[in-house]
Amino acid sequence: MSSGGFRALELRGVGRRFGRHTALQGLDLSIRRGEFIALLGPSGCGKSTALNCLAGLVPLTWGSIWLDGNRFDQLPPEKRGFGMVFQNYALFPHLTVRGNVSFGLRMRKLPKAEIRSRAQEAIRTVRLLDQADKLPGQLSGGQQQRVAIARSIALEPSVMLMDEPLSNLDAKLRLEMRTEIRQMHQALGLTTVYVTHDQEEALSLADRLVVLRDGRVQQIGTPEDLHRRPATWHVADFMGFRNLFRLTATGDAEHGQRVALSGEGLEFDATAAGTLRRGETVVAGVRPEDVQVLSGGGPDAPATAAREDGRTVLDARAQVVEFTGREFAVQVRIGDEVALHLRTPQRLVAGEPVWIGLPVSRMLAFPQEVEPGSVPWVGAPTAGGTGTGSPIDPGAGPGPGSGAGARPGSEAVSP
Amino acid sequence: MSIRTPVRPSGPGGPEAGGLRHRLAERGIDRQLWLLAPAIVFVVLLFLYPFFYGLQLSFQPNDGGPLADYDRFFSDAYQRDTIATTLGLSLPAALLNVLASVPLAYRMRGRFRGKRLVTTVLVVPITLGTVLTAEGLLNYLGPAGWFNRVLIELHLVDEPVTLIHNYWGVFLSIVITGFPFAFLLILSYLSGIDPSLERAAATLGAGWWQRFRRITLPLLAPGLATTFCLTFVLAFSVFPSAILVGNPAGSTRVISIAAYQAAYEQYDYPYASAIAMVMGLVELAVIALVLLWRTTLFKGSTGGKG
Repeated sequence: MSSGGFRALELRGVGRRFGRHTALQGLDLSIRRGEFIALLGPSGCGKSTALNCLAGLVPLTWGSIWLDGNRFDQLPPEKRGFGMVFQNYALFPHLTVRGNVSFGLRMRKLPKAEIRSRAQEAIRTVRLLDQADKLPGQLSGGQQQRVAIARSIALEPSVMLMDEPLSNLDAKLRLEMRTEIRQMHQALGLTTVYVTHDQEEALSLADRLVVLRDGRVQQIGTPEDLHRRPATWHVADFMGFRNLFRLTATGDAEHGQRVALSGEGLEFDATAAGTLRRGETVVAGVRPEDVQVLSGGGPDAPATAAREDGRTVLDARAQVVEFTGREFAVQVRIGDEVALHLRTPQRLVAGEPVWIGLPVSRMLAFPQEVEPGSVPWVGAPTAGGTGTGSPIDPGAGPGPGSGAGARPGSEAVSP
Repeated sequence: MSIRTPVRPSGPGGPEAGGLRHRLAERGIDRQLWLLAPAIVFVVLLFLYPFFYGLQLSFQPNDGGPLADYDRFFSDAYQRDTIATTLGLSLPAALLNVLASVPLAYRMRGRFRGKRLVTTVLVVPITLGTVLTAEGLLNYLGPAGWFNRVLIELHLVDEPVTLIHNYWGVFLSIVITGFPFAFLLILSYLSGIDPSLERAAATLGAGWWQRFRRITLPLLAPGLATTFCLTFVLAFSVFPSAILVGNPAGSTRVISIAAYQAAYEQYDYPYASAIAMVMGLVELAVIALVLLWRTTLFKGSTGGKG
């Protein structure tokens, strides 16, 4: 069943358990023909399990998979007609590039001439004609990746599955290949399910994203949806909300309403991203690029910390300043405890005081709806003294966005 | 051979000395080379010296020219036929060991509960040694052994089947002692093949047989050839079981028995050495053939045609 002409691929309540560990549960997803879907999440979130379930390499524990009303989750992988690109490419080392690409065609017992021409076409598509008679071991990582892609597209699969295909490439090559994958998808219109832990990759490639965490779907939506309206603070964390704080709501608020928050001896105004109750602990986040720098002696410079109409103004001190080419990535400290990341074209000086503004519309407050024990907090909340608010370091623990949090190594400068 | 490894601090005028040492090191000549010394001593004392001693001895027969003993061996049908007898035992046994190990190792290549137990059970025969295995076979397969008793009770046969003191006794003994080697080797070769290759082949439409035939087998072939050679060499030098469970005067008069009789019954060491040399040559010939086959096989499926 390799008809590329299906209308929808549907996953209903798909789940998988390994021993006592539930790797994936309750995945409902309907994929339209030609769509590019990215499964996004930290390692161990179940995204690769979902892909392997689709490919038929891992049997389902729960749920079913349907292609235009035909259930096919019982079919073995070789009968599904899906193409798959593996993280380690999985090229056959004893076959040449041409041998690898024509392998699937030979398995279909197509006429020799057709095998030749289709393999040739696929190799041409990935621009490897001059390498066609080499063995995989003689190729570079990027070339091997292209062979893996050619091997799949030669079969004109109804669905293309890609398991972190760029994670073994260096940064420059990764960007190039990303563009190539996008171009190829646009040119061939192959329905693609793409697994990645890189939000930038997912945002730039996908028509729709599925964010997973601990085997459960957190949010499904377009890149714009997820970027502008993350459903939970986990999604926000993945979508570049590098500054996350645990604070307390000082009033009731419905979704989209303005809410006042307090914690760490500070007061913030934010926009509720869910129903919040007075006294409830919330997780508030803001992207580094949405933090405003108000000082530098300009006319904007306020006299004191204040809660202006559209933003919360805070007194901070620049701590680490990194030049990133177009702008500066700065870590500032508010008071003694709270670290905040921001991006600004202004050259700040480490150790100097600075006024910053947090726009109310860009500071989102999420209900802290996550079961206790599964949250990678740094420092449990303590009664009294520091209050309810303590900074969240998403880089700590096995939680999402490892590596995206505050980098301990860069905290060398301290006034 | 007096290689001193100078640990000279490169003082004034040192660049030349340092340069020389650097150039030597680039060709792999450095102090770590000494790590080879124990192995070289062993090989020289325990292999090369006895081998060359035997070789020159085989050219010094008690009477006749240098090749007289070889001539004697090949012109005497009773002696010459030991080559065929030994090959007739060792080639099928080695082949069976390799062929039986492949499906078993293929099934066991992944992880599963009790893998260690199964592996241990399969490997036990190595630790027993040929003599104990032969003793066991005598009891188990003998006319009053319970293998025959079960067959008779089940009315499958009327007379006890003769499985000892003939070809089959030796053959089974070789299979039992050789199988663990073959199995362990093939299991490790199989574990060295990336499991995602088969998964990739599956997504490309290959059924289990095609996956095995087109992907696993070509990648495993060099390992199979090596395994075959090793089990063959083990089987070819069969001696204790050929006497204990075989018919050492007739159907299982293997070449090592001929050499033994020459050395310790006739006390004709040069003749025994000549027989041992013939034994080595036959083994080398078989190994050379297998390795030749291996290169053609591997090239064939790697070839540029695709």
